[in-house]
Amino acid sequence: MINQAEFCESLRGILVARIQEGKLVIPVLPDVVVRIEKELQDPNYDINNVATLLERDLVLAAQIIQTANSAAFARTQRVESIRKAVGLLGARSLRTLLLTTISRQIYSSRTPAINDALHTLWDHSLVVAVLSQDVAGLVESAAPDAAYLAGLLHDVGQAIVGIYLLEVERSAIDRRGAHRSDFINHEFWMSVVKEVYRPVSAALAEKWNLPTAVCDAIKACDDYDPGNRRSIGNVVRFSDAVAMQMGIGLVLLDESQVNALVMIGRSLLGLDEDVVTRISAQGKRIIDEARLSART
Amino acid sequence: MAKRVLTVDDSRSMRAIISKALGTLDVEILQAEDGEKGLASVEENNPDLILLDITMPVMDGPTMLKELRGRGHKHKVILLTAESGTSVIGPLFALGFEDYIVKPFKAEELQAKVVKILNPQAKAMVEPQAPKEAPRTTESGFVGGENRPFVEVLVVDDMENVAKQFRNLLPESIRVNNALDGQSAANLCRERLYRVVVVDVEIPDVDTASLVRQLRALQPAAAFIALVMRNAKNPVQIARDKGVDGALVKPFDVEQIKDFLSAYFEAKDLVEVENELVRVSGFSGRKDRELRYFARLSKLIDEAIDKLAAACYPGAILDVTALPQIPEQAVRLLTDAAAYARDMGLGLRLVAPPETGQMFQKFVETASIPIHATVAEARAAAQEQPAA
Repeated sequence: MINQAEFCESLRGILVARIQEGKLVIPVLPDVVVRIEKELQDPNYDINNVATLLERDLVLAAQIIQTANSAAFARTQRVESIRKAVGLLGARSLRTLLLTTISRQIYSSRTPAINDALHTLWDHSLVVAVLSQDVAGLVESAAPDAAYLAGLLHDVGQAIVGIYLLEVERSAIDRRGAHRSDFINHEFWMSVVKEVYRPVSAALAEKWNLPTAVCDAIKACDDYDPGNRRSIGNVVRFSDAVAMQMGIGLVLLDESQVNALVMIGRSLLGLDEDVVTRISAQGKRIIDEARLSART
Repeated sequence: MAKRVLTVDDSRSMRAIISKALGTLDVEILQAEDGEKGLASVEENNPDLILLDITMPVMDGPTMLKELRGRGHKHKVILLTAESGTSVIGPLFALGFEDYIVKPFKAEELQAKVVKILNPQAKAMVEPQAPKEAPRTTESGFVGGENRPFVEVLVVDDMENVAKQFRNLLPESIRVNNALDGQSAANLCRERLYRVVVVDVEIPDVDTASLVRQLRALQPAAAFIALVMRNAKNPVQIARDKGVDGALVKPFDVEQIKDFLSAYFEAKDLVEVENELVRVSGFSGRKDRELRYFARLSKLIDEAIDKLAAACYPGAILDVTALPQIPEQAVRLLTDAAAYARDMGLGLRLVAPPETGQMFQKFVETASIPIHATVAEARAAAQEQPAA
């Protein structure tokens, strides 16, 4: 009979080693996105070429139209076709839209319970992205776009590690006939995710060739850097804490730590409490609308 | 009596910086160089607020806070420290503190937080006057402070000519600022207070949805108007989607600017309140706008009555000398105003010229409202006998 505690500890060791050696399987960007990214790097890119590339992947095209019309992206004119989306959005917005759509795909599972957890995680990532973008603009931090992407992907490692653990559990059950219900218990799952997710998030950002500012912010957003008050890392750390305070997402910290993070972040970033309250309320509305739209 | 603020910090220069930063406020500053002396000062002086450092010799901040609470003291505390680790600050929440400031800090941040904690009376007493001119620098401002100069309109559009054309269509008394990009708009909204912010919803390389959210957070009292192209299909829907209060199409036309002025500026000046007197302004617009004028007037009179009731006036005097003589609308307006005043527990008297007064006497709904020829007469009558 397998010893669960021993198994979990060996699993933790293997996972940490794999991440350190860069051997954990990280989702890759679809080929079509890589090709579009190449097109967009040319300042005079051809809208038709980009649209044609996007139209080859029907599922992605449909998801992009859906995302383009979501509350977080809402434009003046409703986007009804890929060509219109490409025409309306500039290269920067199109890149952000593509990465939002692709990232969303990571947060899904065919197991309903896991799928629900991943949806919660996605909601958290999206609200942190929106808050980071808004806060970066408010505190005159560098590039709100970079802040958005860093916010969007700061916790993606949680989803990747979570899904990896699920697959390992499945495999262990199949091979050893272990009892299914709590083979990898919740506490272990949480402790492993908490320990290793950040380098996995950073690894994904690097693998996707995101700007250095985004990769650095993801690596640095575990705690504040008082020496660089308005850094994107600090903006994401603060937005992450505000989202947790709002009760959106997986809370890996206790309440006093979350409150401390919000208070420290407000002072470091020079934000008035009322401004933070208003920004949070707007972020909450966006997530509520996104949830409503997903249900309908 | 001035509120007492105790600063507990081992650095003499830091205590001097804090004292200087709070020098503009009506507070008495007490000083202690460590937790032990801080506790002694609390016992002796009973301060209203303690500014507490974390790392100090003899007795550090967390130990002092623990000891303070252990003795049953509930003094308000702001942590003022270079320590920004959550592992240090987090556990102190259980002991209770009001706020946190990281060193080095800006004087505005300390002042704002001290003012916020030392209750509204202290706030009214100590708040500095708003500067006449906007501050030149954007670096020093604590984001969201309310000591900002007021300007009527901010136009955010990447084309300078848009603000210029808009400015030309507005009366000279309305001041207009212009921002050509999102960053300039945010800077202006940090420095000033606006009544209306007009935002082009298609600025190149700017996520206008995010920009509107940022500006709204800085200007919670302002109305937000979307600037859309004339060929846009449904400006009202666009405004709704963007979370703004209305839309203006460009190029501008005179009629929509009149509507804009009427909605955001003239309406505010239709009613003037002076003590218990509510004076109504006349109407000089186009005939087809009369109904809108009366509707706005009705709302503004109700708001004025609310204010009088809140200020405990026993009655209101409504000066309708300038009111146009349109019997149906005027009678309805006064019937509603009298009913609302009655609901709020206020009597209502009218000041009106003889011909207007005669018009109201003819209608059952308004016949019982006391009418006077002058404000002085109405005030004298109210002194003698408050209107029912």
